[in-house]
Amino acid sequence: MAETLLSVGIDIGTSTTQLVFSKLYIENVAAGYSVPKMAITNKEIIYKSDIHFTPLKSATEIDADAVLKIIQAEYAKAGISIKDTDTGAVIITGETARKENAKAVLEAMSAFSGDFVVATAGADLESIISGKGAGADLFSKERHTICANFDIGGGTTNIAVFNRGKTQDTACFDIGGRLIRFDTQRKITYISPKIKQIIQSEHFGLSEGNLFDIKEAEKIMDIMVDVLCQSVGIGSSPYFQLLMTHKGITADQKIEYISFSGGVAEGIYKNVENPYAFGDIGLLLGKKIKESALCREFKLAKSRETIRATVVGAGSHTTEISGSTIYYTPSLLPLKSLPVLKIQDETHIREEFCEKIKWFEPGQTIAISLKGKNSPSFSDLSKTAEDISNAVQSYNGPIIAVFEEDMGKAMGYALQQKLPNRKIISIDNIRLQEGDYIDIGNPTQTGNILPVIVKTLLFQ
Amino acid sequence: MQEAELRTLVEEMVHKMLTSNEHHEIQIEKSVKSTTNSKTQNTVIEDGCIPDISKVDIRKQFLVENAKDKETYLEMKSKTPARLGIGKAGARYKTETMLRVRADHAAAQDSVFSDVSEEFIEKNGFVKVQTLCNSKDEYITRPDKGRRFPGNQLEIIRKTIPEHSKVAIVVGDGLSSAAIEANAAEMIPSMKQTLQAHQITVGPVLFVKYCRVGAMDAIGEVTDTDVICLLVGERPGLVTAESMSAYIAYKPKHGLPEAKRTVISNIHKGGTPPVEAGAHAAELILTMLEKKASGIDLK
Repeated sequence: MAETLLSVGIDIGTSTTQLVFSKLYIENVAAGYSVPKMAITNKEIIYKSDIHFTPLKSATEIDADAVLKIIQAEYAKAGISIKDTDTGAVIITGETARKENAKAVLEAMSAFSGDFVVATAGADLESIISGKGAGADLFSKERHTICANFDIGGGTTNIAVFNRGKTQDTACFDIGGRLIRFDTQRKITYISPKIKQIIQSEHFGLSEGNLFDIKEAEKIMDIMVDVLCQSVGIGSSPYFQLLMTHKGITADQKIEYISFSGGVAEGIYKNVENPYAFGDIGLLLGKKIKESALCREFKLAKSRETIRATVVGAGSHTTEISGSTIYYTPSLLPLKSLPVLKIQDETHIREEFCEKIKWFEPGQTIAISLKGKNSPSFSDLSKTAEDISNAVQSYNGPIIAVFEEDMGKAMGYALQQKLPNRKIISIDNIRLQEGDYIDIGNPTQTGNILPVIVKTLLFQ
Repeated sequence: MQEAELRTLVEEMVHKMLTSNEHHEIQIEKSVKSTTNSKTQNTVIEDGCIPDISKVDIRKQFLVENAKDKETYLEMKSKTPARLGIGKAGARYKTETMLRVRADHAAAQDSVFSDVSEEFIEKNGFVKVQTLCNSKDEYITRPDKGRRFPGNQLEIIRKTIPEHSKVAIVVGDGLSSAAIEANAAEMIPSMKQTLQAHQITVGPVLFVKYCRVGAMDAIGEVTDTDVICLLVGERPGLVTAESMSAYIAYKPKHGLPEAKRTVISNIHKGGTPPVEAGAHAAELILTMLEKKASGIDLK
């Protein structure tokens, strides 16, 4: 009965590159004799790759060829060919996202991995994806609580706060396990610029080329932990602003549980025999966090994935599906990375559209997003269709209308009647924000629904 | 105890009760007088009105006092129309809940026993016919008569729907007139719009009074229409009295097995919105025309 989509997730992170394949099961969940209501009912990970170190050419450049080789080898090992994948996401995370050639690498990987595998990046999205991969969203939903997940990777810590299954807030800090690295003789080979800054102003005895001194390293790790504590409202640190990537958690969240994922989480949940094994401070930092106020002030939730959270999130939790009664022109699909034009005031669609369309490059295909109306009357429907068709007179691209409320199919026909010569897609059950990007995939086997990936931002 | 002693004891008690009752009665009388007096003296006429309790969205209504976790309860409530989180007054429902149950029950009964208004039929340009039933009572008690038409009505049907039409839309009151008035006028134009996009024009819409689902077979019999779509009011319940179904069949005739009808149920503002249902039903009709089948034959 269930249809399946094969989804690939690829995470190229500061320290590791990973891949997973998962199967998404789509079923009709409506009662018999009703209009179908399709939903993703199950997600099953069918293949997990080895965990590879991310190949770099230099401190500022990713080795694209080497990454591609890893991905190709994993596809072969899994016995999956590129054309088998229906959906998925490649994500470049952590410090790696700030490497010079990140965008080019991402696009190359996306092109390689399948027709509808999308390239994504951005700290907010990364937080959400890793939090979902760790299972914090589900945990908060099942327990009716608020859970914050800390994904602590090599270069960054991504925090996502989930309130009863819904993403409530995200934050990102330059705190990670590979910000200080040393060789087998414990000679320091690398210290990240921001950490160097702190070491200098605090006169800690750590520098590249010298021996790694655990006493001194503990001091710097204490500062990292203090910053993480402050991010959820415990204590304060003078280095909070310095280590914040772009934003912290804003409102008072009343977080009850916290969970950890990312490589450093291994050192939090497990007892480590040799914390120096990976030539970095990751496992040591994990131990510090385990002993910190974070684990005393909040209840600790067990995450479903630790080091694989981001890649599992990218593979299993990025794809949504449209409503089941929609309208589309098949030849338009798939569509990638459409910027979203959100109409806020639906009584003045034309005015708002004409104003906002100036924000985009001429000729750019955009998705127009509206909330729509719950059970609109036929005249409401015709009025909105009329407004949209007036609005798009000066816009030549295909019309991609995305509604939150269930009205996509009827609206599609209403628009097509008013604009017989335009190519139209009208889908519903998708909520978009200003500044989002959206990808719309090929229809599933029965042709009733379209897979959709909503991305928050793409290399601003 | 001695009998005499017992008797005096009882007598004393009865006496006490009587006198205290008298006293009580006098007091009640007094207080009644005083309240009626004060009422007649201070009558104030207000312009306000009592809010319509049936307008309250019960999925969002929460009447439990001092709940430990209201937010979670409301979240669970949003997934069901059941009357949860209604609190209680002693062992009973609160007044508001009690009145609401009665109001919803009354609405359900009304929608069965009232007629679709003439004004509605006229405004939407429906052509009205009536089955063999002559009253609601007969309609309820004789399902067989709700499926057939007298000769003169068949004549109107023949004139309204041209013979061998591709598609005919029929509206029937069924068990809820409220469902028809709430949804039919929104769904039909959406259906027509979708059919029009595929170059199919639909003629005038028939309205059948005292209509059972099988009435579409009688209509198919005399018109030989390819696909008939009957919009009919569903048996109302306490959740909604406004739910409508669309029964769609390829070449319906007398004796059509029920399995050959495709049904879309639960069309109302809290279920499938009528405009979306219209577009969906129209696409189903197109599939039926193409496959020359309906119901389980379509699968």
